Amino acid sequence: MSAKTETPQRAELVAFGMWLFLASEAMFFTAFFAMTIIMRVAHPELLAPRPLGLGLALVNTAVMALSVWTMVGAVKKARLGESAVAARNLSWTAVLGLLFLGVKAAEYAGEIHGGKLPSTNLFFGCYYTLTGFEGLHVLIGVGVLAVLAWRAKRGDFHPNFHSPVDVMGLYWGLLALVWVFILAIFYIF
Amino acid sequence: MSETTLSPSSQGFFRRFFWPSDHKVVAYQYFVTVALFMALGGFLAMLIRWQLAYPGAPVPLFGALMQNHFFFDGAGRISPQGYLQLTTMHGTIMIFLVMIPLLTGGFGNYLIPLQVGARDMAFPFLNALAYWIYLAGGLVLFASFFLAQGASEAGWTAYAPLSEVSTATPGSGSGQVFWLIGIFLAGFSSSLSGMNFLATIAKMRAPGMTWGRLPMTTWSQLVTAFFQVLATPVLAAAVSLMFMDKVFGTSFFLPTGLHDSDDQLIGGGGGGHPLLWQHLFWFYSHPAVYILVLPAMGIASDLISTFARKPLFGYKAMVAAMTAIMGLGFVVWGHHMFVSGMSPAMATGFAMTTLLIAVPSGVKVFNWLGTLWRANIHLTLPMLYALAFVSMFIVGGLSGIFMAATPVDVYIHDTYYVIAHFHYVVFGGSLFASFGAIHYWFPKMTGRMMNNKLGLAHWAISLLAFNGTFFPMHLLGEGGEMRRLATSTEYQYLQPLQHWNVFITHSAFLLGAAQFIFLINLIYSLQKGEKAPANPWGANGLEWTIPSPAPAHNFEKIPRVYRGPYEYSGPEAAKLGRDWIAQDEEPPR
Repeated sequence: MSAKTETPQRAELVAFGMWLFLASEAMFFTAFFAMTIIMRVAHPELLAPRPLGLGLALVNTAVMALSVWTMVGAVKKARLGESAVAARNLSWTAVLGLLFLGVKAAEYAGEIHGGKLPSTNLFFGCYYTLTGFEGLHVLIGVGVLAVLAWRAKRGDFHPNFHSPVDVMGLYWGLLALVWVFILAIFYIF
Repeated sequence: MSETTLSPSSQGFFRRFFWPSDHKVVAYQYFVTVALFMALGGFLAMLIRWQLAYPGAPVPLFGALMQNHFFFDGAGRISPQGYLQLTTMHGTIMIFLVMIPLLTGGFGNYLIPLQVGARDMAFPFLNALAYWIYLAGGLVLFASFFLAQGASEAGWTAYAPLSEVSTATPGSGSGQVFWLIGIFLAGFSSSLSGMNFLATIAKMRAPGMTWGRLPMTTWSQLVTAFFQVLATPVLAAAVSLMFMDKVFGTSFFLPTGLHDSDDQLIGGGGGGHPLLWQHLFWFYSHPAVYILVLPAMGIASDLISTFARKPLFGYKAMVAAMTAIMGLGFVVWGHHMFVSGMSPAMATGFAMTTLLIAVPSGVKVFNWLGTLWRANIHLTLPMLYALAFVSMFIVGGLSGIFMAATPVDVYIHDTYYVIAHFHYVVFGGSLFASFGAIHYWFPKMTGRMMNNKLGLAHWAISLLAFNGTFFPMHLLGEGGEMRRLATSTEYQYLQPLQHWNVFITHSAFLLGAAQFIFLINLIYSLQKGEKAPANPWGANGLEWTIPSPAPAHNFEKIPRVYRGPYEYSGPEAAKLGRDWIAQDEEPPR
């Protein structure tokens, strides 16, 4: 059996491609954040009293932080060629991603039950749009993580081939960063 | 994708044409799809012209065939809603499904790996995926014609609140939702292509292919790719927000207190900003103008230098100009919004940046003229198209400067002057450059030359009919004829100008008919064209060092590059007894 390998140049190229993708994702989310800030400046009355509870958001922050930790572990282990450990780390990241989505769904359910819908006002419009797109990205990420975990379990990754796990790490980092901005803009400030 | 999977003969038909790993096959997919959408967009334009010349008259043939369907009423006339569908979808198709995919997906895909000396794009899988996403977007837009209420009617700019309020016009219902989905997909595809192009140009150049030795076509694709990666996502965000408004009842672009004709309140919470749509839309769509023209500028530079048999004048200035256009291109979007009531200070700022962008554009024009100055000019077909590009681009560029000045723009905003301006740039400019590119690289793609006589007829009639179609539109615009107006004859002040509309329509029909000459030439040359040698034009680029048609995976051995692409008639070439020297030829002793 000949395992798939890649040159260091190829690994660098793949990472470069992912950075370009992240740049475009950053522009996508920046447009939403910019709009949210503009809307808030135009309508300060929407924030009094603060319309969102912080509790579940903090839980999700912890979940996201933990998932970044497991993701970083997966990248490290894949590079070292410890494919089985990487598989475990990738699976945990996927599970934490699902947990993140579950907590978010619970939060949505509470808000919808309380009559707070996307159409309620601009604040909730922005809130559902941004968290919705973040959730969609996490969902896609969970799918890719599952595939990568399966591949790692099969022993696909080793010191000469690990770029898929590397770039997944970059992508997951962006999702964490977007969440930090969401936390700041919608829950704290 | 590892190098070992790259043997095309081992790939089945399905693999080869449905999920190709060869950038050239992806380019052909784009070319064919673009041609079909161009035919559709052109047909819509012909219907628009019929209505403008003969308002209220039944459309011959098609009116009878499609009575009560699509754009026609029971008598085979174009209905008012039908007319708005025509203008909206003509613009949408020509920009998002024709020109952007033609210049980037078509020429970018075909030429970048060949010109940088690579076997394929950086990410062949992503490349194939980008094509299918583009096609999906195109099919969604196409499907919207068949909806009960018809396609979008809000213009290709989809300004809120007309596009937002589902009851405003039939096309603002599901047709607009389809429009949003189609644009999202087309934009996503364009972003993915841009990433691939950037990565390929930045990281996969052959040894010796320094930044200063890249052909201008590839340079222009690199600059364009920045727009595709960084500006297109903002359009994706904008259409996502409008989608939220239409489907989930948010009110990002709907103001407070908007009522419909039955005095019903529209837009739930309200408080949104219709102008926010314009800002987000133009933040993308002005850069999109440069996506539409920069690759054409690169192509024209290659063609002009080759057929002037002279180095490109001011290579570094050309690159600097394109980079300046890219930088400034991100901060000029407000000039589309001078009449929106923006603060005069903002308008002045946007007017200044817009006037400033004329400087690098002028630098490019003077460099082309400098290349032609005292050159040994060969008036081949590609060169004729390139010269047509430069001439038409000058006209379109100059009328652009008029509109950059706020006081002038307020007068001509939304008139036919604007229509004349951007057709001069996009049709007279980019499309003529594209025709030049097709004639130039056709031998490399097919191994055959295009027919010269048919090509000459197409060039001459197109150029003539193009000017007959679009030049008088300046006069209509100055006379006050507004765009998207279906029956200008109903306005007394426009009646004296109606003869121009008839003249324009006849020219447009001639222009449309001339494209059949191109089609015939294409089919004829594919079958019966003269066999092409590897380097029929005596050009220097790496793509001319390999056989025609270009074999799968391009280069048997990755070339080593010794010089720039424009060293025509130089001392090194003279030593070889010719006026050209390929980029990878070892320096002669």
